[in-house]
Amino acid sequence: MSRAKSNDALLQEALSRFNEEGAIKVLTTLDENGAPHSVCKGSLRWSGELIESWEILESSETNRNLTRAIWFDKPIAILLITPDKKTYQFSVKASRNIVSGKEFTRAYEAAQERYGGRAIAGVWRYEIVSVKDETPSTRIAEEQAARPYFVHLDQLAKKDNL
Amino acid sequence: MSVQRSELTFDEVAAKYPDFPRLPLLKIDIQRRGVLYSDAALELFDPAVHQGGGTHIFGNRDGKITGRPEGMWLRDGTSLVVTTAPIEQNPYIIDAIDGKLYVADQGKPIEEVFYWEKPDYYDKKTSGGIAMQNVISARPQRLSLSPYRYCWFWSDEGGGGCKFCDIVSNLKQAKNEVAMPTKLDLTDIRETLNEALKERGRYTAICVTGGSDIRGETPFDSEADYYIEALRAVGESFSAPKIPIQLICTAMKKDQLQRIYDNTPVSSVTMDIETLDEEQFNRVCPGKAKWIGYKEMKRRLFDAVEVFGENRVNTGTVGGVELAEPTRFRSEDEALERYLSEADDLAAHGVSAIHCVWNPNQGSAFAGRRNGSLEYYVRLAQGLQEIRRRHNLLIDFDDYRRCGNHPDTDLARVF
Repeated sequence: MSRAKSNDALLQEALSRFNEEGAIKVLTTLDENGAPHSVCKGSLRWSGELIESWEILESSETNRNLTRAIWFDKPIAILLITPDKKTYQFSVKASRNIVSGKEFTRAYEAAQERYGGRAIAGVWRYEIVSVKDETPSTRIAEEQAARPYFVHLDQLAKKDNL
Repeated sequence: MSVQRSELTFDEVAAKYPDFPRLPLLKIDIQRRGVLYSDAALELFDPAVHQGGGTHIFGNRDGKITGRPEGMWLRDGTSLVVTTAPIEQNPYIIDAIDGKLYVADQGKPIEEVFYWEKPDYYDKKTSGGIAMQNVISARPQRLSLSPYRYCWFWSDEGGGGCKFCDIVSNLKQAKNEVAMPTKLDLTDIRETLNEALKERGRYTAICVTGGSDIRGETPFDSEADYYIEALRAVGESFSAPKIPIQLICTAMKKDQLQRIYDNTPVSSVTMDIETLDEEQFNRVCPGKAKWIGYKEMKRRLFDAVEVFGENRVNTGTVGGVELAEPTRFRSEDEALERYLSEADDLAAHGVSAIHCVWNPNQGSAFAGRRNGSLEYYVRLAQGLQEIRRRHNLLIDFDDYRRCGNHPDTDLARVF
């Protein structure tokens, strides 16, 4: 995959793989001092219209950081790694925290089923700002093409000389 | 002499306090100015889906208690417990654009808002024929139960009530308009609570409160008795011995509080001092001044910490009522300094002071007076939360989710 691919096409590709079984999703938020805090967030999903996640703990650092994010417009990152190691990084913004009402109830019941009766504190929704292809093989190819000076000479030397 | 006040606009306050989050800032201003629903906004209000007003113990600035939405959310989950105000008081306008609800000012939409959704039990009746929404009312995540709504501070021997309070006039209106009972039947409480708990995930706490009752062998024994009855009835629905119940009661003596704590599932207590200055307290709350007194209220709050434990006791204040003229404070600065100094003393003894934004409701003695400036409330909310942080006090039992009416405890979400 190349960065030359249009943003729309890349976004559609990334979203089409968002809910794959076995995909790893990492949510990174910023704390009070601006330090990043990352957690694996299995509940992150693409609904077909937006990205959302469940927050189990009211007092979690992620929940507090997400509240700061929606209050102060702080950036949030979501890293998606598919089972075949395709890697996408979404830059997102917190757009809504749902803590009551029928939408919350539906998520609450789904979470209870998935987590053996455990409750959730809220549902966070995210607005997508951008997406990048961070798959290592893609990034290597991009750098080789665009930044030819970023290389160690032994990589370019005749094999016979090594 | 009038009180010297900040005259900064919303944008100027936002710029001056960049560390104060904008959504809670907007909430404060909405509570401070009140709201008026446009016809378009009311068209989006669906009584089958959304929660209507009419069940709370206090009224509104325009004197109307029914035929309007009960409250709204902001997009961060912040609850807007609002008062409706007439247009001449410059309220925010709740309006609708392209099928979405917005809070608007000067004709411009500012933020999307969402009506609270109606609890499943609201349309049901108890076996005794009482509308369940008149037995237990709801906020988005809290059940509110008022076993007894009359306040004896307003009786002939009561001393004169509290000047900001419209509990008795609101009760009279609610009796006429929605057949609100003054005292609840325990069977109605049990049936309504069991019905409410069927809605999974909706509620995180129960608030039990009502009017003060000076009757009994010693003052407030009668109040303690009916709270024990009601709280024990509530406890029958739960398996745990203590559950997240906040009792907001009159400042009772230690033995009365101990009796309530030992015999019920209640886990936290709020005893409202209303204003943090003895002279103002005597002026604003003559009933409480007559029957308890300011210094004794503080002592009883400290005693409550010994009964309920740390992080389980707070006192509510009507933020801005200290500015109701005539007042001894010459400026907002002076009032704030006094207020936060007293809050710090309470916190040093394990008691959190919280505030709501004072609304000069129509049924109160202070109707028509001016509440504080937006900057005043920002400094008040920030000051109270900073005091709690400094004293390592948690306010979980009265936060944005379990109550939603205190801008200072909204700020606790990120700490």
